[in-house]
Amino acid sequence: MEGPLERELVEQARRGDRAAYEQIVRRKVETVYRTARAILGNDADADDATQEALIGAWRRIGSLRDPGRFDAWLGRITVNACRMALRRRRGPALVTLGGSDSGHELAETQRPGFEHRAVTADAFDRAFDRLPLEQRAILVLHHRDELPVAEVAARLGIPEGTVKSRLSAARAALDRSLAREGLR
Amino acid sequence: MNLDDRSLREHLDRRAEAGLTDVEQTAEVVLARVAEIDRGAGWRRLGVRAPSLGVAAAVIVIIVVALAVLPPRLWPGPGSSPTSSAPDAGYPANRPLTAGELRTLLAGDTARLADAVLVVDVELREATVSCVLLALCATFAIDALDPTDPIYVFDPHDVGSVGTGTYAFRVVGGPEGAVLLLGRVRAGPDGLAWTLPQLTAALPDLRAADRAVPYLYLVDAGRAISTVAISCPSVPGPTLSPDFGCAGPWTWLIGNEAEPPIESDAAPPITERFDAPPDSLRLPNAADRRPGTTEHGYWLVVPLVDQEPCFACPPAGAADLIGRVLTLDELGLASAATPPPSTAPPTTGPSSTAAGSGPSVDEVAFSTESMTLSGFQTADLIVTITFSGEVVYPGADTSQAAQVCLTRDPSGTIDPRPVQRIRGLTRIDGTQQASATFRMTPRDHGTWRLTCIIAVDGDGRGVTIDPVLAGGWPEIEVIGTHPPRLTLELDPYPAEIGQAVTVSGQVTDEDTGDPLAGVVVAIATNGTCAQGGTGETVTTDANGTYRYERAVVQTDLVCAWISDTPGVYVPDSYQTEPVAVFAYVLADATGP
Repeated sequence: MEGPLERELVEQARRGDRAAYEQIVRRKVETVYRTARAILGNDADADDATQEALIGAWRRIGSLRDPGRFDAWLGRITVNACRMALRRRRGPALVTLGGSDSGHELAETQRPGFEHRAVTADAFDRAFDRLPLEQRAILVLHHRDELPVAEVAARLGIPEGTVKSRLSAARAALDRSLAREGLR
Repeated sequence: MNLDDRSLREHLDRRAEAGLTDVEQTAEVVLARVAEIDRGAGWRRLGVRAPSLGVAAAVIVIIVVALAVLPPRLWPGPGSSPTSSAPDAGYPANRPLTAGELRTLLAGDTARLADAVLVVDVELREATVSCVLLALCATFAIDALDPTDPIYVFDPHDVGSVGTGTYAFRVVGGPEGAVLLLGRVRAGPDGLAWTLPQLTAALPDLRAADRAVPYLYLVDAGRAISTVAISCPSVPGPTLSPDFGCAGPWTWLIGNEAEPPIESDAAPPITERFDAPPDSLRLPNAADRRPGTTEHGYWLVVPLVDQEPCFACPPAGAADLIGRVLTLDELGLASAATPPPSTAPPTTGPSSTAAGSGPSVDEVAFSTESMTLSGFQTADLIVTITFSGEVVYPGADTSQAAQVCLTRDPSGTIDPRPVQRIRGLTRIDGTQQASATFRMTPRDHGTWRLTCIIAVDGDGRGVTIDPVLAGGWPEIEVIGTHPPRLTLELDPYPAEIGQAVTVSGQVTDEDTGDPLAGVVVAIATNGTCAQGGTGETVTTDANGTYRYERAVVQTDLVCAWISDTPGVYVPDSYQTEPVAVFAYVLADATGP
């Protein structure tokens, strides 16, 4: 958000203008859903998290102090909604060990010095879904949504230094998880 | 495999874009809910007295005792509504109760609501409540933004559902009531409740969705009807889930809506297993709930979407009967869309919520009014209470001990969640005084208020004195800086039985993010993660990281906590960061 028009919409929504919030929802629902979908990996949970985030934002928008920070504020609510969506699952999400290629699209690693081994979508998803939500979120925010460290810190409510260390840890954890898929 | 940034981005984009959800439809759902919230916004601002923390804590004790004493068959089963309703009693299918209405109900005569199931549109927030040696603690809070007036919610089955939405609760005992979280309620296509045909038709899709559906569904069975008994064979072999299986000899069905209601209370006939009327919704009743044939209305069910096909399992598309939801008429609430105003909160006290005489509180004293803590520093706050009248201290039975609660004002603190601490009171010999010690750390930054005192008089009656009503009781301000933060990671995760697991993590300064070297971290598993537990210790290196390896012998709970001198951080129930961090190792029994 942050544009003058959208900032005005946030201001109006803070004053209880539901029509303004409707415009915000229509502009933001796709972004919120895609972030949640990347973190959670399935439609149903992402849909739940999106609804929860946008409804929760309406409930709390009066507490938003700086309308210019609406995106960061909504991003933080979205990550929390994803965390709750994971918690709501009954029992652990079981992951098949060993991996099996099932014809999904492929992406290849291009890192010099490493053997070019295909990372299938299935294998990546299994590896990614093994990560704790915090690690998934930080990878999605930084590497998919291309947010700078400072913005990730704002959305997660943690210091920038912590973001850096967590990013590093998350990448390492993902690499280890991929290795468990036999992709070492 | 080391993924480069581009490949990682491609995979994350694929995950983000792979969904089939129509986000426009999602937006419509959100906006419809926003409109509902908007209609009730003024109501939420009304001041209504809620169950106090003290009473809630007292109810915890009651629940713990009841759970320990009563055999499962005597524990009130789901859906034991206090009254039966006429077939056309109207639950407002398009409007769940508001949080305000829930407050009103809980502030009234809750005896008639005992075990009732209510569907409420609320915001649940995690409530960090630490209870010493109690089996059940409040897990969530409703309207926690008002710290003086939250409704505390227990989650005995780890439903683990929190956020904004429509939830189902069961009312449990206590003079002012308390609620157990049953789960989240998913609305039907035409409103809150589903018709039998709608839900019956939807169940296969829910099953096909290949996910554990945590939602509960409200079934509009106002015109339906017959409860038909079918036999459920007793078969040896793998046991079914107690929640889902044929735990009793009866399985009940709610028949086709087109059938006329059966007006007789006579026991329905036993028919062949699964011989249900066509297109009927099948409701296996694991808790031996025997709904009378006059108990029509709205029923809360959970579909058996997780059930694998097996012999003697409920058929696909079955749903488990959770309970009957009381109508607004039965609750004494107007059925109009706008709920009525509630009574104003009492403003004077303290008052005892139990009838008759009991111990009263003459004085409460804090050992200090403020403390400044940094890093690993800790300090003890001693709360001393002077009683008049007899107070019983049962000794070893700490679940019956007199207790005191502190609650932190969530505003302006590091952790915005409401945090409550409960400690047992120890009698000071030869006096009418009792004291409790609270160890504070820099993470306890904020203002803490006394919010409950629980005592038992000589007649064995639980008496709660509610200082929330009194006002002006002591507070303490904790100024905490640079609290340590502890993370925990398991690799591999999940693990297989016999596999070596590396427990690792980092200790950092929460304010600066700087790593903290030389910190002693204790690591423990399962039961030793409880209060007072002991574990193996490791020390962080120059990067603040620690590392420990162990073999998985079973499904383990792994926890870590900082154990350093002079400050001692101990694991504490429901307080997971940074003092203790928990993670589960999922042992795969099929592994090597």
